[in-house]
Amino acid sequence: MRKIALFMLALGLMAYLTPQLRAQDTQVIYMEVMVDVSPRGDAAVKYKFKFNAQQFLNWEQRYGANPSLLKREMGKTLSQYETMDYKVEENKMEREATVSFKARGMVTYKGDGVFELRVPKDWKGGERDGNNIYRFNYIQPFGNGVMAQVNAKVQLPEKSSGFSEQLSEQGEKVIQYHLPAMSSGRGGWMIGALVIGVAGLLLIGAGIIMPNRAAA
Amino acid sequence: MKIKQWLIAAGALCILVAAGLLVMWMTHAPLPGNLTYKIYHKKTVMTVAYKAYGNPEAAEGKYWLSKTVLENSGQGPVRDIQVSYQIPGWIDWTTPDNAPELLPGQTLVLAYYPKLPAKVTHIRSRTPTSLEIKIIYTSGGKSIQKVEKRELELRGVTEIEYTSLPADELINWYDMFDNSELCAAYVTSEDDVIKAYLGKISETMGGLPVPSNRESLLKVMKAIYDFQCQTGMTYASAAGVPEKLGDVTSIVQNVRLPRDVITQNSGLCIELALLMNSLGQAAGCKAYLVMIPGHAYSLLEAGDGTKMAIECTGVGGRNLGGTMNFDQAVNAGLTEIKEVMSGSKPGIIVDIQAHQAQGLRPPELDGVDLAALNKMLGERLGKQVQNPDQTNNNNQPNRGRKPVAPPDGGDDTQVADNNDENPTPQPQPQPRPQPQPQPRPQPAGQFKWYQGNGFAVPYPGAWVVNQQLMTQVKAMAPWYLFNAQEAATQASLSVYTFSSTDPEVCMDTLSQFIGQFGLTLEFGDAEDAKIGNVAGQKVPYTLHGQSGQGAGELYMIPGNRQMLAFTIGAPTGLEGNLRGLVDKIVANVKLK
Repeated sequence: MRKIALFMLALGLMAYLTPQLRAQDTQVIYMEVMVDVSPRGDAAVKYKFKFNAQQFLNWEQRYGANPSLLKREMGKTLSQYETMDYKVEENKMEREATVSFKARGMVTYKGDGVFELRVPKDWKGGERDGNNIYRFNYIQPFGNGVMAQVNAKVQLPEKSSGFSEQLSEQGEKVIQYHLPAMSSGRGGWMIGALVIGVAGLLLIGAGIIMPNRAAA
Repeated sequence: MKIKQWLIAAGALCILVAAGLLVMWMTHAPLPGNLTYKIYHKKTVMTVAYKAYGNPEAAEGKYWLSKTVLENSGQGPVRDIQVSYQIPGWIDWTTPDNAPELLPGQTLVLAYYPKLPAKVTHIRSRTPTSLEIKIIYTSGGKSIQKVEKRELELRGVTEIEYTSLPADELINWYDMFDNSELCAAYVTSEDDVIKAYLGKISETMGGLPVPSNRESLLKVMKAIYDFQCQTGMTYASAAGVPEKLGDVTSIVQNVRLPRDVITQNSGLCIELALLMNSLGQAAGCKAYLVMIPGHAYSLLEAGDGTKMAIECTGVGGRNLGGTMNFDQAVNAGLTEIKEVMSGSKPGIIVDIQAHQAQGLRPPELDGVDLAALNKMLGERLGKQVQNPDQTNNNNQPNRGRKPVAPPDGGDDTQVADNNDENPTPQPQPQPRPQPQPQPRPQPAGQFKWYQGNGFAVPYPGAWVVNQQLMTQVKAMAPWYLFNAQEAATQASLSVYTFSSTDPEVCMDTLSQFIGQFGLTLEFGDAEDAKIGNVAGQKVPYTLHGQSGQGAGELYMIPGNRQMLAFTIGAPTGLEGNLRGLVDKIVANVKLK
């Protein structure tokens, strides 16, 4: 439905001004996406749109009086998460709209402090900027000639470390990171026991094989 | 001696500490976790699109069957979480997802995309079944298992549910087509029946070219359409697609697969459009299904991006008042698609190829007796030769759809308006109309005139004018006066009057206006030109859009307080064909 709304605004008036059918002529919408991942793996997400006059008019017509519709539509496109707490803020003078919501379960926990974030396939780029921020800059076609110029920022938890990236079988970028404080801790006792036990055996072994003369 | 003893003693102490830690590890009871969960599930599955339900990539993943949201609200971790699903009789217990651990406060969302077997397409009507969900996990050292059951209904392969939104969520016509992309599953270009049918078309119509450009695309479409007419394909007038909001009963519709339409030689508007799309796609075109209130038709695209819409119901039928010829069917399609493109009519354009690439693939279909099919088509062709009056290439069909009539001849006509006065017709059975006088064919070279604002500009009588659209554009640009367009090539004439007599200002105005829509208009060098009997300027231009380019010329005649101007252009590559016409138009412009 998002696509349809944008399609309508993009194509509403131009069919006759050029000699071709207007289906594929480009309309660009500027979009910023900010994803702030909590240590638990949930995320606070913000979509910020910058519209031109006609786009903003269409936005207002569709969502102005019924922002709940936006919740329905975004919830559908983000069906792999549990989304909640939607809020819409508008700056009508600047023709800007910001949609924010929480997405639970955005990051999956793989055990032993390892988390995994699957980045949508159409998010291009993904350069790590600083310790825990990934940035994506790409153009996303919405179909019917509407394009979104997207700048996305994913901020992982402050203490995350051990970043690694790979591609899933579906072609998604998978970012793995480690949060040591998040491991359940029981495994540390066993590892400690093993390390200290091995050290003890080495010490005893060294004591046994040490020649008495050298020791004297 | 002393060091040796110390080493052994320290080693023994380490062993003791390690043993203590090991005992702690083995005996320490973890705090229990508490797994709570919510299960969302779809109540119906459209079996024709069973592949989409099994594909997380299809339609941005929206065709999950079940979504389980698990949350650990306890104080300790929950481990070894497995969520399994079963659809008794169709899918045995399967565990697509598991998670090693869920810490306190964490949430896990697991969506289920079932790999349904191809045999679900044998279902012909609603079949109740159930979805069973088994959740297994370990918490506080205990293994826990919970099983949930939800009712599920498998729809027949010909049943399409246009929306999954609840009735009280439907706000506008578009909401009724929330699942419109599922129609891509009905475009069965790989079906042997479609290939055999296309083969017969090729054989009968003298071969099919590769649809690489407008000309070859039209040839392919004409071959398909004419073959359907020749073999007596009819438009079965019945409910098309849901027409208006609140028409909840029609949100579920029976739509047969194209192979069934071929066999029965008759189809609804959407079935005929899906058949045309299947054949077009099999022939090498890109296919689009266009859905408008109460109706659907096909749009095909050639390799060079040229798109042509066709009113597939133009095949008509004896009891429906005859048959449109191919040109009329294309003109009708073009008129309809312009209404959608202009926003004057709601419409959804389903990009079949794009959706199929995302996983909305057609179902696996059973084999058929192709020899019998070939024989049947041969008999239909033979029968049609014996009953040539079954198609009436002259009568206009009277099915509630108003095709673009061949232009009426006559010079000095005020702005022609071929706009449909009733843009949302619902195909309905109609009594066979009486034979009517045929429209007078447009003689080649016949012109109509735009007259207004102090000058008159001729344009070919066959070109189409959309008054409604012009009104919309004028609301944004008062200097915009008129447009006429050739249906087949999209060559067009636009007329303007600018309040400035400075050519640069006029060109800037035009560029800025067009620039708002993501297009780039570039002008070449201006040169003096004789326009009608007066001196003016001619400026070549090019237009850049995402899918292609256009080119043409802007002509300007300075007046006392305003600039009279017009552009004539065509898609790049076709502008050269306009040369003679442009010269004729320019030479015949009249100033009052």
